[in-house]
Amino acid sequence: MEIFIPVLLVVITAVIFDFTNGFHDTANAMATSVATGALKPRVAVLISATLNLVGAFLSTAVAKTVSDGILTENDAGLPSVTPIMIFGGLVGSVLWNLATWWRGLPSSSTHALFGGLIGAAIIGVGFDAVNWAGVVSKIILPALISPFIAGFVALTATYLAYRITSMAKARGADSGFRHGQTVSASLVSLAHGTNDAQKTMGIITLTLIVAGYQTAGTAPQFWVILISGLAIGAGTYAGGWRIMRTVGKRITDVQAPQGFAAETSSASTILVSSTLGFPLSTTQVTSGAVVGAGLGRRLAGVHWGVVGRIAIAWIITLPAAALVGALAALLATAGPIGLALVVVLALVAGLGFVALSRRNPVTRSNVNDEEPPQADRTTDAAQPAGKA
Amino acid sequence: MDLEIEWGSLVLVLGVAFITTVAVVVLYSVGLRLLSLGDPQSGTARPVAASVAAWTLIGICGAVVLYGVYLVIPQFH
Repeated sequence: MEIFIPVLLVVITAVIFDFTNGFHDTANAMATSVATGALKPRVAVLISATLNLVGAFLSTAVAKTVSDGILTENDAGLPSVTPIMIFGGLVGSVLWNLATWWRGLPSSSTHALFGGLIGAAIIGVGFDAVNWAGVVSKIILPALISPFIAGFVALTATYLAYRITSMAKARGADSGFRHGQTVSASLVSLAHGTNDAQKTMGIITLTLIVAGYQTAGTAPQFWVILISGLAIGAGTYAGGWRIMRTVGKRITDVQAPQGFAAETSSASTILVSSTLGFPLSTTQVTSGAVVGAGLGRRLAGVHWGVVGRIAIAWIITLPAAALVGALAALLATAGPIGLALVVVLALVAGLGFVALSRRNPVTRSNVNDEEPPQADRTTDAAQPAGKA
Repeated sequence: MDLEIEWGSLVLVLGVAFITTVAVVVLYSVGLRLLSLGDPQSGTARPVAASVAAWTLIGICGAVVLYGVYLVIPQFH
């Protein structure tokens, strides 16, 4: 009974995190499709939600490697964290995801998740509980490298797409690119589903094993797979319109050939990297591809102010989630009253972000609103159009 | 703390992703360009060869997408 309540809290918080993961990352696959009009907003989130749900059932390989080499493991192959610490970490992850969603920033849910866990593990166990080499090689380096690889690929692809179709003036080119974009965006959604829902399954399974409800080394239980898949699907369908507007309209106003080039770059970069065993970060890949697509079209303006804010959010996601996770874990491990306090404070903070976002709601009806935030520099739009 | 950055696999990822993307985008764009030949207003029809070539190129892109689906779904391999 002692352990049951913390485990239950972890399951509930993990499912909430999974939901925020869904609506945070809808933008990865679908922002450019919504921006170019290739898909109606509601259709886009429905396709993405379905593929995320399907993806969750396709593979549980990642979920088995519970902490993914981020936390050090003891002889039994388990990290030395308790369910209460995991709960504290998840609180940090959820709150950071909500904060960045409120600001419309496409930060990485994976970073938020691991940031929260790292913070909680440091507080609960110590610096030794974290496998720092794993953090650098599996989180920090991929995050630094991903946007540049995807950006470079998308820049070249966009330039060629415009060049070959005479700046997309060839008859039928525009709608052709939109069809192509729908296909590559769907592939990104499916790849996302096979990866991200598994992280929630992994956390819940880890907790069940640590609490002694499940044997170490066994696969996630069916109900865990089911609720993880449903939560990420529901979150995706709810649609992170705030983040979608940033990625699809505010970084640069994405046109059909750019959307096609960006999504194709994202899909191939993600698939190639995971196949060749050098996993890159989905959020960073897709955002980098959008910037590259913006640069690849002559005359296109990239709002560097927006890009800068996204970059800052990327850098502080891990430490910020770690800080909140650490504080939550510190309070939660202090005793039953501390644990109750964390639950209450987390609810207040979470609902607070929802309330703040209500003040300027972004819905599927104004997701394509172009008005850029004030005081953004753009690339020199007055450059001569050139020969392209 | 032993940090091993696998520069080899990084360069490989960049290379393969670049070639795949550029190949798909070029084939698809050329396909669309070929489909735009002919002018319905002046009544010039699109040459049959252009149609065949266009759909072949777009078909190759479709095959690449199917291979991508194959890669995503672990049950296939």
